[in-house]
Amino acid sequence: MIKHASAFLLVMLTLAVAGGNAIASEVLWLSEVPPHAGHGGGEHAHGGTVVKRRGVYYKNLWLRHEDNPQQAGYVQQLPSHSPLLLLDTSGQPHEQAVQRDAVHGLYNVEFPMPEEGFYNAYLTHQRLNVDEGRRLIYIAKAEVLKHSCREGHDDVQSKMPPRHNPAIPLELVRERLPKENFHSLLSHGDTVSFQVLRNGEPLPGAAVTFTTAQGWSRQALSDSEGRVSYTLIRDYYPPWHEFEKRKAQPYLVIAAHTVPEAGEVEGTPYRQTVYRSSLAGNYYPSPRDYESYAYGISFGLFALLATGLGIYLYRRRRHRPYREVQFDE
Amino acid sequence: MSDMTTTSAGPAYNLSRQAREAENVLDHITDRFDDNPQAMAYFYELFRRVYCQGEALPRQGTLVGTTCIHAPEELIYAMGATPVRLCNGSYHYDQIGADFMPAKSCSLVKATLGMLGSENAIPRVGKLDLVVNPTTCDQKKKAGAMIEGMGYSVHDLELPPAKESEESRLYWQRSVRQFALRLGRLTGNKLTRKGLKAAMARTAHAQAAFRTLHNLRKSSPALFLGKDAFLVTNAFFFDDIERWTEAVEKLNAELAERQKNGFQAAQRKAPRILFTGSPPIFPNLKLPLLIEEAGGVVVADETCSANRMLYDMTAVDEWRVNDMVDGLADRYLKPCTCPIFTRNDDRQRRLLELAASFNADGVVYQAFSGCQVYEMEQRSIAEALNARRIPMLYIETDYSPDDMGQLSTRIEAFLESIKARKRKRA
Amino acid sequence: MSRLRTAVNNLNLRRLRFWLQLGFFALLVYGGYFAINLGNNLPTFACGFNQEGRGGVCFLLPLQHLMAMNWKALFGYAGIGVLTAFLWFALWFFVLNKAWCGYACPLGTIQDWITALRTRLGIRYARYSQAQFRALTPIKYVLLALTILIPLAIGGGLLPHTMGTPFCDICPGRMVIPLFTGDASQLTIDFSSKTAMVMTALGMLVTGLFFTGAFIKKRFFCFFCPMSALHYLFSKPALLKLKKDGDKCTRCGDCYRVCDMEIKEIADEVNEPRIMQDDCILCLKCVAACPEDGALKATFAGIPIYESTEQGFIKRMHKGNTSERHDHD
Repeated sequence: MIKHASAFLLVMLTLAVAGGNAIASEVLWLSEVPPHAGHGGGEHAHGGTVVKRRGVYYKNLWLRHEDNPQQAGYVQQLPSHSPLLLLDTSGQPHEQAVQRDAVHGLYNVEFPMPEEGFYNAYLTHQRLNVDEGRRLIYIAKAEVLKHSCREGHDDVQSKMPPRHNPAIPLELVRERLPKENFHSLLSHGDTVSFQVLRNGEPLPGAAVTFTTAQGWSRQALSDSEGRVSYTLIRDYYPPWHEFEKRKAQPYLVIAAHTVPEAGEVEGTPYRQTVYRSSLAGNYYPSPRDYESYAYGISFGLFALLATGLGIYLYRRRRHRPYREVQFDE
Repeated sequence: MSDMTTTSAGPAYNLSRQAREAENVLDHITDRFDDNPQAMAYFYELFRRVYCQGEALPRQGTLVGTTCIHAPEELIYAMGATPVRLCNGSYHYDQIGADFMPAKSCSLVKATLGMLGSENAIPRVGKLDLVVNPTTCDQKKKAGAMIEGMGYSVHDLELPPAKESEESRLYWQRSVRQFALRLGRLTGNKLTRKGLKAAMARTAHAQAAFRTLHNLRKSSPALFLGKDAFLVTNAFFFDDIERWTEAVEKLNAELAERQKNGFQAAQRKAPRILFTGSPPIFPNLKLPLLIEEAGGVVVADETCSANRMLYDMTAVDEWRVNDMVDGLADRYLKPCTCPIFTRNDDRQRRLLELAASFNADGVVYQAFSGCQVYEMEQRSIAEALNARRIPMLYIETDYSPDDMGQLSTRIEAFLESIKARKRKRA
Repeated sequence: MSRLRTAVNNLNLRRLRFWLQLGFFALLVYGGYFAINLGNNLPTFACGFNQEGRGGVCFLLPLQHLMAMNWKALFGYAGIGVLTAFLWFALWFFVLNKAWCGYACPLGTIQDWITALRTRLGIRYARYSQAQFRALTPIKYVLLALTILIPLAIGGGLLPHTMGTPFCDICPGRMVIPLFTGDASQLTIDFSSKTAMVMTALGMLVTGLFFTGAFIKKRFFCFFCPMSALHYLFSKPALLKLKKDGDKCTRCGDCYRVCDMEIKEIADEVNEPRIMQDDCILCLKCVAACPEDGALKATFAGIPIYESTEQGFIKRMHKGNTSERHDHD
């Protein structure tokens, strides 16, 4: 809980600096990790933790700031924000109220996922930096998979392609891996690509930062098609006996884009607008790290040769017939 | 072997007495019945040449005599040798063989010993390079050493006394393998896949021909008589296997023609008899002839000189030498209904099945006096048949013609009672 | 009609079976490439680990998954799902009975191919002694019990989740069948946890053993197959049946001779017409090797479809002549 306390302090501090108007960190993002261990009592499903009520899956997302996907604090103060915009699996938009939890007043949102497939969640927050004359627009996006194996796997491919919302001024879209399905996991060594869209159109030259839990971070500019790619690094080094092959390692991608849009908000003018869009996700240990062909094939060959040799020798030796009855002396 | 000849009788006398006996039976078979199939002429002629005229059979290569159908002939053929079945049906040799055996012992074994011990014996089988003696009944077991004493080289082919257990099966497979090794040493040939497969195909071809003949006997009224059927299977003892098969196929074709034309070789109401027990071997076709002279017809048999010798066929999974040899071993042991084995369930079931599928009205059970195993099984077989309301006539006899009159009366009475039953049922 | 029946009974079963097995192999191992999906409850080793090519999934995989559900769900609403899965399995099974083993099972077919290779090399096969046979035949029931009980214990929280599919871990089908679609990914040892390490190492040992075993023993693996045990529990009402008329049997043992599973009852039992034993794979080789008319027959819904005949036997076994042209091998 020390983390939350410090996050809370930080929020208070930035609020003070920023004139008590809004959060002061550089980013706002949606995380599926609850602030308290055991919060919500959710169960594991493909696509992360969910809560099941009457057969319907509910997803709980938490609003966080700071750019470290592991340590970022949870948002406690957020004076103005849009309601959560939810695109369901067929692309229909829904509005979902943002709530605050009873204990610490942390911002979170819960929405049902009745259908199989990907749900897109967007939350927008606008803030003015009066001193610098800038308008900051934060767009937190989450892409959540709902999948239960009991629903079958017949129509997975049609549900795989990512969707975007042209109404969003700056959006990050994770592109799918080749042959990706509901069970696919990103693992380190994989190259993951994102596309930056400005009102639905690819945006070249946007600065995109990729950050892992250990704090490894890399910035790249989107190419002519608005695309950036990162090779996922290994970021998980536990002792062997603590190793979990399904260990989710969070990453956070942030795209920033500044445009000379001037205007005024509630009488306060600004000279330019900065869009900051975020998208969080998980990746996992690579099977290459814990699976060994060398051992596997040598074990198999060993069994093959040992039994083969055993049978060969047995067949050579077995000349004396009718020795199966032996008497104890 | 000539120096081991035991009887004082000269060769000329032997030949003539033996030949008279054979000729007598052959005349009986051919002349006292009408409607003998034309294709039977081959067999009549064959027996006349071999048994009456004492013609030597043209043989090549190694000759292997067998004293019982348990010796796998395919192995002998595959080694380039020729099998000669030594079981003999002659009363003449039975008397000669009496010197070797106690008075009350099996005529067949005595006749075989008598023939082997005689000079210029008929049929003229030629010089035997090996005699294979499967250890079946006690009398045959003991005969092995006696044959050896006559100067023959004898291989005792060890047969287990039971056939149900897996152990007995393996024991027998091993015996057969050792027999193959012995044959290899004898002939200097190696058992090859090709050779064995060809030998098995030859035998299977003969068996297929036999089975066709066998099935034609299901026809009612009968297409031909049982005495001819016995003659055909007896010819298999010494005839060239391919020539024999060809002759049987000709006979089958003729019988099939008869079937198409609705031909009757016996009266519609003639009692259909299933023959079982000690094997009728030419010239001792005493019982089948008596039955058919009395108006019955032998439609099927369960004897080792006919059905048991040729009926069961070998199956192989992988056509490799090891599998083929084991397959052969299985076929010579597992389906065998010989009474020497501990149990006789298979024989009972076989008889019931034959009686049912050949629509037999009664069973004639021949036991050679002194053949203890057949004598001992009589009771259980009679009970099994009676349970299905199939009458059985048990006849204890030997090769001597002395009891013909008495047997004829019993057989006529038995057939009469069957006819009476049939009338009552109709 | 009778001419058709004769033609069927005269069939060269060996050749017919080769093509049928090849067809089923293509369907179950490569069917996925042609969008064939027979569902997840097949009563045969259509290996689910053959991700892309599979034309259906072996029931043991979903069975273990279902059994590993937490007990509250398993004995509650999800129990319906388990029953439905069982029902589908039973429906598939009732059609072909154990012919799923003798004709459809890809792993069985692979073993038959290995046997064909051995025959070509001229190496003789091995047979068990009766004592060995009796000792080996209960193993499949033990494996079946473990296949169900271990996941059940996992669902109850008594065992670690890493043992979720204990039978698949040691089933050689998991290693061997995906190889046919070029997927060697199962030939590894998984070092991510102790359980996984032990189970995958065991799996590779079994795979090595599978190859030597199948090489010298016909249908080596089938003696131990828990699917075969599961089949037998449901085999009574199945439509395809193997029947024996004991009266017509001469006990010549030809059927036992050709039986890959060394079932002695096929030759010795003359009282019980329902002759199919638990090890039986319903390959019908015994019917083809029986020289007695109507002694053995396969019936479908009571109608005889393939019957032993003298004519058929002679045609198949010896071709009735001495020519070497008709070499079986």
